[in-house]
Amino acid sequence: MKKILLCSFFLFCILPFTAWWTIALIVGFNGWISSSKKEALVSGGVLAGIAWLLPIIWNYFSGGKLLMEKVGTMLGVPHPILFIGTSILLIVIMGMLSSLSGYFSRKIFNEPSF
Amino acid sequence: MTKLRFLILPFLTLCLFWVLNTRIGNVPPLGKFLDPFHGYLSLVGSDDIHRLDINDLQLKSPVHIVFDSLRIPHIFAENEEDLYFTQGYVMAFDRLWQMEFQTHAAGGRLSEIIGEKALPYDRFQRRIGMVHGAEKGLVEMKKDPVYFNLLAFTRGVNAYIESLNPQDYPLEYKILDYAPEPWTPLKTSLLLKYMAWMLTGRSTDLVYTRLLNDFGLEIVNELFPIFPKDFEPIIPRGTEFNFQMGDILKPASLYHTQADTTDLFIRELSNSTFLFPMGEQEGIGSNNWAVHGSRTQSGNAILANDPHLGLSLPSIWYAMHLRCPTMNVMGVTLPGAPGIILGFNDHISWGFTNGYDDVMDWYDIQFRDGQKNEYWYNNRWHSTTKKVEKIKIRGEETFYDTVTYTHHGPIVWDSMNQTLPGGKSSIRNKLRQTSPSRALRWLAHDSSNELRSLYLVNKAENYTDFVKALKYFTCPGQNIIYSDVKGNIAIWHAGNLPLKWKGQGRFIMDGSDPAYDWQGIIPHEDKAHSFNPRRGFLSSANQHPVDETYPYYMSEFYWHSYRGEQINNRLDGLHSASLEEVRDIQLDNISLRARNLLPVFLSKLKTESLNTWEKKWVELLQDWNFSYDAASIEATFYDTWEKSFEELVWTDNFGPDNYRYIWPHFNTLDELVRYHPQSIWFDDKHSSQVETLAELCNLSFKETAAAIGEIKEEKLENFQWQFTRQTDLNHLAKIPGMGRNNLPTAGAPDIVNAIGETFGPSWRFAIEMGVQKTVYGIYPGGQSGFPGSNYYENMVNDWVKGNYYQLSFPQSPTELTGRALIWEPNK
Repeated sequence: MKKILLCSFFLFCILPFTAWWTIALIVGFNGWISSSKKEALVSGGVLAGIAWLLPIIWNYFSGGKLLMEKVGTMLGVPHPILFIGTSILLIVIMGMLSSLSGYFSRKIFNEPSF
Repeated sequence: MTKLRFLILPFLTLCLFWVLNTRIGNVPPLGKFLDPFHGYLSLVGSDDIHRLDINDLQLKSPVHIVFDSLRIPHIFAENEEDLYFTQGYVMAFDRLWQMEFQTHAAGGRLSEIIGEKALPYDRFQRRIGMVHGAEKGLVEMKKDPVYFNLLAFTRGVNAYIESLNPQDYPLEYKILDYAPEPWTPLKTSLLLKYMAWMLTGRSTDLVYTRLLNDFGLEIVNELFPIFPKDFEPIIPRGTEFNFQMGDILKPASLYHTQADTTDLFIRELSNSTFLFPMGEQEGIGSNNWAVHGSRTQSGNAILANDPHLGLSLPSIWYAMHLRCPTMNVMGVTLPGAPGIILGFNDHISWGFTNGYDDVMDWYDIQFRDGQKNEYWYNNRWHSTTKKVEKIKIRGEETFYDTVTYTHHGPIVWDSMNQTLPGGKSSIRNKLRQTSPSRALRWLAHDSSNELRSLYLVNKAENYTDFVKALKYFTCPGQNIIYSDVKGNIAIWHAGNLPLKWKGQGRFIMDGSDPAYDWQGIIPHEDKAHSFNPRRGFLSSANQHPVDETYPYYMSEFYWHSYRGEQINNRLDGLHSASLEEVRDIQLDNISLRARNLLPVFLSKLKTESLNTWEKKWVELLQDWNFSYDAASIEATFYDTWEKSFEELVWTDNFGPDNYRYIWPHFNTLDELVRYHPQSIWFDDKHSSQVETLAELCNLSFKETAAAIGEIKEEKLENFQWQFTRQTDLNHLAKIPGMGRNNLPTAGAPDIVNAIGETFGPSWRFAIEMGVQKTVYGIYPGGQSGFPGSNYYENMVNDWVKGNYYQLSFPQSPTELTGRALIWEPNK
C-alpha cells in the first residue's frame, strides 16, 4: 500500500510534464520491485488506473462532461461514464502488462537460473 | 523455452504501446489522445475567454475586446493595423483548426493529414488550378495597400499559434494527429478561392454536351431554356438598359465535340458529380431583399439576407464587430479572412446571394504529340507551360503530378496515353485511366483582389462608395443587396462576367478557335443593377438576374424564381413594414411548386379507384395551404408524390437523376404540366402504350400512398415533415459525434426557407438602418470551434425553431456588460 502511494505520488509529479507512455516505465519499475506476480499485476493496474482516473474525474466535474460525451460518441462509446470506464480499462491493461513485464525482466536479469 | 515465454510479455507490452501511440485508420493514437494530462482532456476550459488575457503582443496602442452574451467579440482599436492583428488573434483562438483545415482542403493538401485516401481529392484540387488561382490573387493583393491589413491579420493568427504548446492544440489536431503550421497570406487567398469554388464550381457543360450529342439542340433548348417561361428576374422588369454590347467574334457554326464526354475522370477524382460540387440540391440557394424607407413604418430602409450554403460544425461563419477611428463594421466573416464579408457599418448594410453565373468552361485541346509541349490554336502551334504538383502523403511516398497549362487554363483531364507516376495502390492505378485532353477556363484563375472590394465595402459611407468598391469584386459573382441610413436601397449583380455570344459556354468548346475564347468582361457600369426602383423593394434568390431585354448574354444555369416570386409577393403586401415583418419572410415555407402543381395533380386523380386511407390523403391535400411547416403531414405526402411523378416523367429518357444526364429543372416540368398536358414527355418510351399526364398522376399517387403507408390517427404525428425529412450539421471533417444530426427542420428546396438535408440558411440576418440600428442575426452553430465548448452549437436549437437574436452594436467598450479584456502594447 505504501509503495502504491509513493509511486502514485511520483506519477502525479511527473506525468503532467512527460509523455503519456512514462506511465508504462514507472509502473514497469513498480513491477521490478514487486515481490510476486500477483502483487505486480494488481499494483500495476491500480497505479495506472489511479493515475488516469483522478484527473479524468476532476475534468469531468470541471466542465469536461460535454467533451467526453462527444469524444465518446466519436470512439463508439456514447455514454460519458462508460467512456471513462473504457479509458481506465485501457490504461489498467497497459499498467498490468507493464508491471508484469518489469517483474519478469527482473527475474530474467537477477535470477539467471530462472 | 521458459525464458522465451517470459520475453513474450514485454514484447506484448511494446506492441500495445505501439498500437496506443499510432493512429490507425480513423482512430487517433489512443494513448496520446486519452492521456488526461496532454490529450483531449487538456482542452477542458480552453475556450475560456480569460485565456486571452495577455499583455505581450506587438501592438501600437491599447485594444479593448468585449465578448457579448453570444460570445461575439467587439474589438475596439485605435488604428487599423492593431484592429486586424487582434481580429486574426481572436479568430484563431476560436477557429484555428477550421481556418487551417479549409485551406488545406482548398490547396489540395489533405493527403498530408489523412493519407492516401485523400489523394484523388487533392489531385483534383491541384488540377483545377486552385493554388494557381490563389497565387495569382496574392500577386494582385501585394500591389494594394490593403495587403498591409492582411499582413497584420496574419501576424495576429501566428502570434496565437506561437502561444500554443502541443497540449493546447485544438481537438481536431489531436484526433487527426498533426500540428498547426504558420498562417500565410496565401492561405487567405486560398480560402477566397475556395469560396469561389463552392459558389461557381459547377459545370453543366459536360452533361449538356451529352444531351446535345444524344438528343439534339432543339430538345436541349426546349428542356433547358436560357430564359424559362414566367420567371421573375432580380432586376425588375421594365428597367431600361441604355447600352449595347459591342461586336464580338462568333464561330461560323456550333462546335460539336467528337470526343467521349464521359465524366468518369471527374467522378473518380473528386467523388462528386461535378455538377453540384458541394452536393447541393436544386432550388437550395440564398435570399436577400431590401425595403425602401418609403415603405417601412419607421421610414428607415430594412435589409434582410440569408445565404444558404452547406451546413457544418463549426459553422462556416464567425461573427465579429471591428471598430477603430477609420471604420466601424459588424457582421460575419469566413474564418481565415480579414474584415467582414456580410454585415453593416454606421452608414450602409449589405448582403449576398450567389450569382450562379457560368464562369467555368471547358475546351477540347489538340496537342502536337504525347509530350504536350505544343497545342493547336488560331491556325498555329502554341507552347504550353508545365507545373509539377508535389502532393505529400502521410506515411507514403510523395506523389508528383505534372499539369499542363494552355492559355485557356489547366488541362484537368489527362490525355490519351499519358502515364502517371505512382506506386501500386488501386487509387493510383485508377488515375492512370485515359480520357480526352480538356482545358478548364475558370474566372477564379484570373488576377483579382476581392479583399480590396470587401475592405472598401466595410468602410463605405454611401451608395457611390459602395458601387466603387464593387468594381474590384471579381469572383464568385454575387447579387449584393444594399441599404443605407438615408433610406436608399440597391442591388448589383457584382463580379466579373465574361463577354460571350449567346449560348457560349453551354457545351464543351473548340480550344483551337479564338471565337470560343472569352472576349473580355462586361463593363462595370453595364452590370445588372437597380437603385431605388419605383416599387420600393428589391430582392434576389439566385434566379436569372435580368429579362430578355438585357443586351449581354449572361448564363443559362440559374435557379427558377419560385423563391424570388414568393419574396416579392410578400414584400408587395407590406406598405408600412416593420423590421420583424420583413425579417420573418425568411421563415416562409410556402411552396409555389406545390401551389402550381397540386391542383392539377388532384384534378387528374380517379378518386373512385382509391381506398379509404388514400381518400383521406386526398382530403388532407385538398385543404393544404402549400406550406412545408415542420408539423405538416401534407408536405410529406406531396413531396414524395412530386418526386415520384418527376421520376416517372424523366427516368425513361434520361435515366436516374445526375447519372448520365441531368433532369430538366423543375420549372420545365411545372410548365409542361400546366401548359402542355399533351406533351410527349409524359409518355413512357419503353412501353407500347401512350401514357398520359393523368395516368402518371394516378400512378405516382398510388406509389406514394404505398410507400407512405396507411393513415392511422394515432400515428399521424410520425408523418410530420420535421420527422420525415431532417437536417444534419455534420462536422467539417465528418468526425462522428462532433456534429448535430436529425434536426427537425421546416422548409424545402425552392421555398424561401430553403432547407435541405445538409444545406440551408447559414446566416439569417435582418437590419433596420436608422441612426440607431436594430439588428437581428443567427447562424446554425456557435462562435467557438471547440466541440467541448458551450458556444460550439448554442445557436442551433433557436435556428431550428426560427428564432433570432438581437445583436448589440456598441459604440464604446463600456456599452456592453460582457467579458472585457484590455490588451496593452508591449513596451
